[in-house]
Order: sequence, then C-alpha cells, then structure tokens
Amino acid sequence: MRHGLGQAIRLVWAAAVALVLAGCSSSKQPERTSLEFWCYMGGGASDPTARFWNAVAARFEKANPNVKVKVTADIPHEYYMSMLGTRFIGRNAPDVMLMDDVEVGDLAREALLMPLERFLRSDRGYRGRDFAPSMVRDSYVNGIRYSIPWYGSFVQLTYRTDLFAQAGVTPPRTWDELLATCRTIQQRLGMQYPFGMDLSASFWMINWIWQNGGDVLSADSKRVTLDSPECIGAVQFVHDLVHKHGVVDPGLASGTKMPDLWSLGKIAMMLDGAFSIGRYDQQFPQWRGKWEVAPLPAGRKDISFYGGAHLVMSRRTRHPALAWRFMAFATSVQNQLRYADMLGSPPANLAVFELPEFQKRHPHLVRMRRVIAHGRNNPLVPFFGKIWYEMFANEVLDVVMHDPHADVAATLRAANRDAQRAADDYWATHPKFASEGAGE
Amino acid sequence: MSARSTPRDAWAGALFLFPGVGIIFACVLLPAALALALSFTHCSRYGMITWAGLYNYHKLFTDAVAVRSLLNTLKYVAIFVPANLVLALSIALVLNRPFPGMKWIRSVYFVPVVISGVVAVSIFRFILDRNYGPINAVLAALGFEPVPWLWSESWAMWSIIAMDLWKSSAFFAVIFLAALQGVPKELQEAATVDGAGRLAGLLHVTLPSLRSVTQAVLALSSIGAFRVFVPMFVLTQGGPAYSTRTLALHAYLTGFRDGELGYSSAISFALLTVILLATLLMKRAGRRSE
Repeated sequence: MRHGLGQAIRLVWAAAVALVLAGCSSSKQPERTSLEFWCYMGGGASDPTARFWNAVAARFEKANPNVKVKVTADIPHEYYMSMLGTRFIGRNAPDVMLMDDVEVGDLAREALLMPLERFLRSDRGYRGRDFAPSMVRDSYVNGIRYSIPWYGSFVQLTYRTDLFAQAGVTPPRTWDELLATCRTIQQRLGMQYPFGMDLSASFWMINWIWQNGGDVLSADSKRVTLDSPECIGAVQFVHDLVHKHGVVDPGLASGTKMPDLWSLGKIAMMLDGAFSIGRYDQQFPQWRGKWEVAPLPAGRKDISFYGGAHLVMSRRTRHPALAWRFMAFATSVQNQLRYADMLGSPPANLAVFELPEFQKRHPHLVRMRRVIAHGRNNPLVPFFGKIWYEMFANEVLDVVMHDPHADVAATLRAANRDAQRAADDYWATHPKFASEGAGE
Repeated sequence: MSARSTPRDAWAGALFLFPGVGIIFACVLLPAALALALSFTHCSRYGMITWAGLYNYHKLFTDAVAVRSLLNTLKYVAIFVPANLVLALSIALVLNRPFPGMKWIRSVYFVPVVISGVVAVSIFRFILDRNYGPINAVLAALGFEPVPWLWSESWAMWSIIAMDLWKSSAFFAVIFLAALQGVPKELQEAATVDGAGRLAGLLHVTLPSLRSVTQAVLALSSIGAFRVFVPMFVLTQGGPAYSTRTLALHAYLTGFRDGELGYSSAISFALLTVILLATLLMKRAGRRSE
C-alpha cells in the first residue's frame, strides 16, 4: 500500500515536471508579431480601399505566418493627418502609413519618419527603377529617402466620343485648338458651353499656369510668383474662356457641379483627374463606351500635374525590417495591378503598365502613360496648401471667376502680397527648415 | 447640536466638492491653461514646439484673414442677435395666446431645436442648392434667375444667418414663452382697466416684466453667435472669398488644417477676450437699464 502511494506520488511529480518542461520547450508556437498600417479612405461608404488593404494584409500574413497586420482604412482624407498627428504626439504612430506626398516633408524634418536607404540597398527584390521618376524624386527630403511611391494621379481631358464624332472634331492639343474645338461644337451641335472645369477649386488652375510657363513659387520656395506675367496670362485665359469666349458655364464658379453637367450631357469635354476614370462607367452608365481621355491641351509648355501618395515608415517602429517587407510587398507588381483593378486608379509602379492584362483592362490609363513621363508635382512645401488651396481660391478664383469685368492682374498682385506674407511667416517660424531649404 | 462647523465638516465638504472641482480642473481649467501656454509657442500638428513669445499675438493684427474673420464674426453677431431676439419674442407672443391646436403648433416650432446642427445644415445645403434646391426652383417658376445662395460673396452670410435663425429662434421662443406665462395676468388687466391698448400693454407691462429673461437670452444668444462654427464649416468652409470665415472657423482651420496649433490657440484666446468684453458690456448695459 505504502509502495503504491509512493509510486503514485512519483507519477504525479513526473507528470508535473513533464508539463512544466513542455511549457518551456521550443515546440511552443512563437508569438505573432503585430504590424499596424494606416491609410485614408478614398471617398464614400462604398469605397473599396479598406477591402483592398485588408486583402493585401491577408496575403502578407499568409506569406509571413507569424505576422498579424492590423489595417485602419476608414478615416476620411480631410481628418486623416490630424488623427495621425495625435498618434505621432503620443509616440505610437502606426508602423507603416500611406500619405500624400506633400505631408512627407514636415514629418521627415521633425525626425518622425524612418530613412529608407538601408532597406533599399539591402532589398534586391524592390525594383526602384520601375517607379515613376518624378515620384521617386518626391520621396527625398534634404537628400534622404523617406518614402516609396504608391499611387500617382494625373489630370486629363475627358471627352464624349459620340459628340466629338457628330461635330467632326478631335481632342484639342493646344490652347488655340481648345477654343476652336469649342466653337465648332457650339456651331454644329448647338451646345452652349462645350467645355467644363471646376472654377472654384485651385487644383485645376496650376496646370494652366505651368503650361503658360509660370509657377506659384520660385525654385527655392521662398518667393511667391502669382504676379508673374505667365500666371496672370494663364488665369486671364481661363477667365476669357468663361466670360469673353463663353465656352465654359459661368455657373461652375458658383455652385453648378461639373458631374451634373457631364451626367446631363450638357458638356462635351471636361478637365478631370485620374482618380475619376475608374468611376465613370459606374457613375454615368448612360455614357458607357462613349467617352475617352486625352492629355490636356498644351500652352507654351506641354506639362500637367502628376503626383500622389506614398508609403512611409514610422521612426519608432519596433519592426523596421518587417515594416519594409510589407511596404515592398504592397508596391509589388501584383498588388499594384490588383489596386488598379479594384479602384481603377493609376498605380505608381510603371511595370504594371507593361502587363497585357493591365493594358486590356485599363485602356484609358494606358493612353495617359506619356503624361506620367513629363508630369510634374505641386511644390512640396507645407505652406503651399495654404497659399494655393485657400488663399488663391478665396482671393483669386472666388473674385475673378464670378465677375466678367474683373481685373485679373490687379487681383493676382494683391493675392501675391498676402501669399508672400504667409510664405515669409512660414520661413520665419521654421528657421531650421529655412536654412536647409525646401529640400525636395 | 452646535451650528458651528468643525474641521471635520470642512474636510467632508471639501471631499464632496472634489469630484466637481476635479472635473472642472481636468476638463476646463487645465486644457485652457495649456492652450494659453501653447499660444506663446510655434507648435506643429506633430508636436514640435519652439518658443514664440508674443509672435502669434502680433500676427493676429497683421493677418488679413484674421481681421476679416473678426469683422465677419461681428457682422454675424450684429445681425443675428437682435434678429433672433425679435423673432423668438414674436413667436413666443403668438404661441402665448390660446387658439385651437396650440399645443401641436408649439411642438412643431420646437422641432428645429431637436434636430442636430449638422443635420440641419445638411438639409439647408440641399434647400439652398443652386441647381436643385427648392427655393431656386420656385424662383425659376416665377421667371427669376437662380441665386447662388452659398457661392456668392453677397448672399452667403445672409443665407447662413437665415438658417441659424430658423434653428435657434425656437429655443429662445420657448424660454420667452415660459417667462410670458409667469407674467401676472392682474397687471395686464389693470393696464386694460386704465385704458391701455394691446400695444401699450405689451410695451409697458409685458416687456418690462421680461427684462431679466431678455438679458439672459441676449447673453446666451451673443455667446453662441460669437462662437458660430458648424454652418460655416459644413456649408462654405468660410468662403466664398472669406465672406463667411468667422474667428472660430479661422482658429479651427489654422490649427487642424494648416497645423499651426500655437497661432490657432492665440486666435482662440482673442475670441475668448472678445466674448468676455461683449458679455461685460451687456452686463453693464443691463445694470444701467435697471
């Protein structure tokens, strides 16, 4: 009996030791590494951005079984940087983030982003040369690489092929041709305002200024040049399209929305962005197969906008190598093709444009391929948004586009003085950045 | 039992006060003190802070948009507050008289107050739409050109004031209505016996009885008007041509869109100063009239 009890105690002891050893053994499943990724919502509740990024995360997790990627993709664009700001102030920014190119500079200068050179050097699988050169240039701040291109958008002329055929015209290639084409459409189709562009948003105006040989800021971003003859000429040209030549609906400056005119067939062509191309057929099914895109008509120069969003890594990430792997994975040809398929938007990885399936599924994007080569981006200084999207819109567009008799030159000179004050204020309050220069 | 309080009572009192005072300190006083400190710095939206001294307060006077925002705010207050007062009092006087369906009508008048601010503004965005809004549809039916209610420098502020009057006047009308029901009927009857007509009764009996309520309505309405933000933010973003940019909106856009948190705090304190001054003036005027 005593022998039996001793044996039982030994058995229990052995089992306990075995359990403890099993707990400490190497056969235990390693803990999953967690990676956090943030991007903004493209627009609207049905926006497929979250679906796309969750799918990317799932594929990445499948390839890296011990990794969990937490995706946040439901923040509207207008609140995105404010919400990210609180994460940076709290020193717990996501490991990887998607953001507009213009935001990268501030974060990099405040030493909040991880320089990427060492990853680019060591990762032979990442083909940097496949990406749009201008977007790669935008990835540098003061000579250091902080981001990799994700999505590049351009501006295009979208036109109705059926109406153009009826009027016997082709897409205009120059400013003169634009006016002539409008006149022909007016005469042959009886359409009052053949051309549409949003007259209240600054975004579109910079293309006319570049094409006229002008710019908003000097090369070092210290001087505002809205009062240059080229800028004045460009704004005057658009003002004339509305009020002198009468080919653009003046209501577009005061509440008439271009998609409404397009949907009703009241315009034959319009200035629009690449981000809309994927939505046209869904949004305007009545024009399916009856629209096409073309580069903007050129002025003195053949330039138009090309810029977009990048992926960046937090400097405080605890898993930099893994974060880089996720960034490189997301921008791979396969994922960028999926992105184009899901959202109809142009990917930054230009190798995608060479794929036969992409060419077949996205003929409109392929046709705009040449624009990417000579597109240019807005100045990437933080105060550009204030000068351009706020001051130019309020002090120039809201004034001259409403008034047929507006003095465009005087309005631009006055706006230039205010904008210069804003630029001077930025450089005065950021002396360290001023000594470094704009940096891009 | 002694009426004198002991140290133990004082401790107990302090203990009971602590939650309320603690919450006010943590949620109002401390953030306000931090914001005041922030207004003397350059602070980026990502937390980089450098000392600025009085730079942000000096900038207030050289920033043309800030000056324009202040003028817009004063214009809004100068139009909205008296109009709101007159409208609310008129509604209250009408609703104070017995008539069939009075209770139902009173409830209907209160509906705008119950609707959330953003929802109300969104409804008005549709009503004031240049191409599809019902107001312009009526104007078009009468042969008039569509009016760009929210896209014209001359119309935008008036459109917003009209919307805000619709939203706010009902709330203040209810306050006036409650006060009107407290005016002793004997006073009105005595005035009638003395030969006072309806208008004289209103001017010499009813309105003087509402003096304290009117002062409260004036103060509340003014403070709300100085802080006006939602309709401008949702409908116009301060445009066109800065015509609807108010100080509160300017502070928000400067801080959260442009990332200048230090300057934004300075604008907020300027707004607070304006509100305090206006409140003091009203208080003094109220005392004088008594």
